[in-house]
Amino acid sequence: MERSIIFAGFGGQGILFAGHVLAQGAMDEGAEVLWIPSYGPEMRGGTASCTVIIGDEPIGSPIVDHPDAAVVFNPPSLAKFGPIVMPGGVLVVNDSLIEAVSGRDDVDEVRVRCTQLAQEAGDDRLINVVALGALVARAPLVRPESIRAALREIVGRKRPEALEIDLRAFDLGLASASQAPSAPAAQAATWSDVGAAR
Amino acid sequence: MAKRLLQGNEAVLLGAVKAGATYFAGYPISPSSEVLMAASVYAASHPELRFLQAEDEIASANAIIGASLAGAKSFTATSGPGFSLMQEAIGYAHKLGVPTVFVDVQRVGPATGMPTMPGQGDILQTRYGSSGDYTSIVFYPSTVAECYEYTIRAFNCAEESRSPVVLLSDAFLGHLNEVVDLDAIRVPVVERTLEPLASGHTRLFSGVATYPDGEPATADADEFIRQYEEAKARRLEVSERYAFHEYGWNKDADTLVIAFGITRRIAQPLAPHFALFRPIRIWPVLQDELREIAPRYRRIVVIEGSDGQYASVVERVLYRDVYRVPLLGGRMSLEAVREGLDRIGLLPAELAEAAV
Repeated sequence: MERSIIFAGFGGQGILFAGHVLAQGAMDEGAEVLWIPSYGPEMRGGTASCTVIIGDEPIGSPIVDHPDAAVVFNPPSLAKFGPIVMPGGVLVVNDSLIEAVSGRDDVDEVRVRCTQLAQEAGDDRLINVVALGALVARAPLVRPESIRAALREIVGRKRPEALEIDLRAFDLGLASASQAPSAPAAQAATWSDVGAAR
Repeated sequence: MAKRLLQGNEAVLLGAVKAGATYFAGYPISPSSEVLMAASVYAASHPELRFLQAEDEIASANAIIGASLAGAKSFTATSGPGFSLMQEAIGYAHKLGVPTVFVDVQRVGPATGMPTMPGQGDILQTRYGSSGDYTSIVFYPSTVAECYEYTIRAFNCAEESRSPVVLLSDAFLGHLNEVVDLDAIRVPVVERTLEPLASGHTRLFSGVATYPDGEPATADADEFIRQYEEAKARRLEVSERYAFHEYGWNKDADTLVIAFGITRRIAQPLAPHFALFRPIRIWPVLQDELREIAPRYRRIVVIEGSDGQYASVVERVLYRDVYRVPLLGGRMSLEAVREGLDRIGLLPAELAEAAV
């Protein structure tokens, strides 16, 4: 079984970092993991994205046409990736920057006030870590403790002084999405059904 | 060492170090720049690896040739446009019989093309990019672990064949991060046998046709042919030991898919419906293997990130027509593969239905 997740937003919003942390957490749980960034001219203001694929066997294709989950940080990313999430999948939306909704009634659309929660944690740049918490709350890809361990390893190595704020941001995101109501139609399709269409 | 997340371009650097590389020269160009970056970082704490960021690709290519002649195992990394600039030097390295490694992380060309979208349009450039006749050896891995493994093999093959060997990659493969255990990949390293400069002999390194004593042989066809045939025979003989390929998927299917590099990965969902032949040694073309396997299949489809570069080679080798699925403009996705197969009427019904 393979699960694919796309993170997308403006260059600078921490898209690649969020993917890296998720990939590291999954690897630490013994999963096969693939993580690939996509950027180019997009680094200069457009949409940057990365894909993480988690599986129990070596990953085949690194290119995903329909991800099981998407985490979108800006309006162009919602427009691009919202429509292609697998039916029954999870769509985490950065509510601080995106007013539009996906209009999908067959996905679990989670709206997260990323900037506000990141501020609450102590650094308003940590919208990526907040969103990662929300993703893990709704899509059981990796145990929260494995993400915390990955943050300790990655952030702790480079910027140990920032670790505590990162962990707080993750927990706030996790808690917010654990409480948020899910879209009514999404309750019928559960995460475990995702990918059945393949 | 435990398992780790590693990027394709970084795996190339680690493979080169494992193979005993002591000299890197390069000029940054997406999507190959991480090789240069990783080399500079590594060299900062490992002085045995000499690092040069040259003024351009022409200087880089000539620098690694000079370093090799001086005794170093050397390499560079670039992408299509830079690789084009290196062609003159590559011809020079072929003429002199210089063991060195050129890494080409392909993007969409020609010229500046699409930085940085993945492409596979340098297949023929790696074979025929320089002037005159020469015998290229080229490998193209498909995974991060293979980027490491085949970089080592490229260095080994360069030493044995005494020629510049090319390692192909692409924008997806170069930027791919995968879980690898490098300690599980054991490739014996071939040591340098050529004597370095300052070994007590005077040697002439000329692009001009010369006799072994250095006198010009610019009008002696017999001598030219003797040297050419000797170099060609050596490279063909050595490359026989490097005839790496993959033959699998559903071997009982009636259609054979040929795909390599990242395209083989993208095409993975086709596995139940097709047989697969993946050349890892791109050049010399795996003629014997293709001629043995191809007759078992009614149809052959080449899926590649160019407008039929490898397909044309397969047709020449097999004397039969093949179907083509070109993935152009960086559209290297399963969707594009499906569309391509649909266009030629070969899309299996199950795959058509799986599309959302």
